[in-house]
Amino acid sequence: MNPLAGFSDWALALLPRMFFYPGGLAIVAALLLALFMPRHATDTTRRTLIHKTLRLVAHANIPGMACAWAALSILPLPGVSTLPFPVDRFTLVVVIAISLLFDFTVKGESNRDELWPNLAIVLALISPVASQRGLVLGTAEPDAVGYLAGAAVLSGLVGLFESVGYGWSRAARWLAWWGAGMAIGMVPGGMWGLLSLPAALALGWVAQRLGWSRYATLLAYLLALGALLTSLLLPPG
Amino acid sequence: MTGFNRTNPPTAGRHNATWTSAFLLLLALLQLALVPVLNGRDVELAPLFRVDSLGLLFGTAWTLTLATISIPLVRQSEVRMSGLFLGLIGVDLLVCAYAHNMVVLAVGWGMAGVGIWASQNVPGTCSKTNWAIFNAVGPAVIIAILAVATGFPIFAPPAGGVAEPWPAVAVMGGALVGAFTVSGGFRDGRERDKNEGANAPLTALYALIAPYILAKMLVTAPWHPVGAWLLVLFGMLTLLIGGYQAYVAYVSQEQQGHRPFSYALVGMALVGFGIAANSPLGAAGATWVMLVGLPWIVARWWRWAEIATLVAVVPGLWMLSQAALDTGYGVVAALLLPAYVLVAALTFFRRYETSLGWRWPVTLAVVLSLLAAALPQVVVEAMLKPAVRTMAGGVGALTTVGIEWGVGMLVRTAQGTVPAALPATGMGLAVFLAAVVLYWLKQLAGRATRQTGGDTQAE
Repeated sequence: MNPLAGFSDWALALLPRMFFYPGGLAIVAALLLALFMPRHATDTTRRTLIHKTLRLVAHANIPGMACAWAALSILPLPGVSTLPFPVDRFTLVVVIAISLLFDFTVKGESNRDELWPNLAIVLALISPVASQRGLVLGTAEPDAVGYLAGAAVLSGLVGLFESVGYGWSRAARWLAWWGAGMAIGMVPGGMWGLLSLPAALALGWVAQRLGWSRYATLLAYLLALGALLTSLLLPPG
Repeated sequence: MTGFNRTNPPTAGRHNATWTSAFLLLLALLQLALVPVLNGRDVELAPLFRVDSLGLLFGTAWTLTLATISIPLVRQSEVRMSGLFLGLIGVDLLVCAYAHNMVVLAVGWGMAGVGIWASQNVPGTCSKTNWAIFNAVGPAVIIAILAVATGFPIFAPPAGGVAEPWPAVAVMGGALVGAFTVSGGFRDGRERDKNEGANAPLTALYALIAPYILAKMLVTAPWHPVGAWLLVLFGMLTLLIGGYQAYVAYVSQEQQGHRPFSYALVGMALVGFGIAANSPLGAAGATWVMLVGLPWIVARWWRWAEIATLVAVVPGLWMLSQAALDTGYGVVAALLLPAYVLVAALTFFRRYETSLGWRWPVTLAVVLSLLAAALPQVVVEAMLKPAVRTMAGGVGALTTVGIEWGVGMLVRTAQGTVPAALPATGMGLAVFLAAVVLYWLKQLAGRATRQTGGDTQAE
């Protein structure tokens, strides 16, 4: 293919994804998520909703947010036309992980514990490849490995919930992990998949209130390792 | 603290530093000039040297890196004639890069080790010990033993037919050389690493040449299957040791030296070379990792620069993951990315913050890293394919990588299926567009916040 044609095809397919669905919708949802989620920090001053929104946007970590937004935009979710160039599981996971690294450039409110649930989700999302021939996203029905990895992703999201209130990019990354789980076929598709989002939010909120976020992260690691071990037992294919 | 300092650099070494850097830069440029002249051909200068694409790639990259770090190194050095030592180390690295046979490689490696030991040998420190000298020449001794044991092999593909595989013991010998080199053992250097002493970039460069012996061995012949398996295992262990070191430093709240990340890069390269005999993609990934580690040595002193170099590792990691799946190492493919994220994040989180004291090397490293991350197709086509072609004795041609110049690259099997696709340029475009929009949103929101009397504290 002509390089310029390939580039323009990609750009044309990307733009509606970035600014409408799923990317555009997702970053607005992430903003709302960051806006209404409880925040540990010392921010106790009374502010209007508009002021809080402006503050979140003004203090956004641009590279971290941009990577999360890009990841949200390329998610192969239901109802979205396929991209002219395939995107594999590795690309999807690594872009969100880079967003995390960029967030670490900002010295701020305790983001040191944020690494662990993120890492558990990375492990969960990538572990099913152990029984596969390639990194591309499969179209097969989820199996035991998929269910275990999906449970690990959801558990990791519960553990990660604490960080959502700390910034727009973190909320976007939280959504991106959920979307990646759904796109990869670990979180069930259709209505069940959509229900998993409020379920993860509700469980995350409860875990945060009870101080159980670390247990959720630990569970995520156990499930992800379980998925990895199970996938090693399966014949490659 | 002995770290780099931009304010009041010592003037004594300034003159020396400029000449050293100019000499090394000249060496790098001479090698670059050879690329169009040779046009992919190999030139035998038996019995000492053999100029091929692999040697040209690493010879140029190493001398360029050394030229870049030599100015701050010489200026900050407490060692007399440190400029001369660095120039000699550059020459020694070239001897390694273009070694015709294992004996020449042993000589070059040993001289480079001694040069680094000598350049660290500051009066009053503990590097004047037998142990430090042993560590400096240790890898060379192992290479020499390996040379004797394997009948003084030359680094050239077999003239005809299929080469006899390297025995498993020889493969592990190569890995041992790598381990010896990356662990360094330079006690003085290790002590200084805690404070990121002035010689840390040099020991980091020395660590990153560690897997090169395996690349040279693959020029001659493939691995014995047991040796390949052991090499992959050894590589994963090295990567995990890097993760463990990074974790220990993180928990003890120490600042990270270069070692955890060097271990991770070398571990990944060992894995790649281990599976290279069965998947050329592994050799390409290992070569990539060894190359992009070099800008990291220069750029890791500044947080935004370091992150650019961390991102540049990703295409190499992608190649290694797919190569591991091609060769049936599923668990390796599943663990590579999480292990890398762990090491990169922990290294970055407890990073040593100081300034290199010279901006253009950092800028150059960042630009090269970002270009490599966003346009990996160029690197694969211009550098990796010729380098892998040189390893013809042990590695097949890199034909499975398909290049889509406008978007990225993919892996295409003989049956026409696509098991992996990395739209690096496409993703670079997406991130760029998002960053531009976010920048303007942020500016607008910041202005509005200030007008309403909000604070300006960063997120």
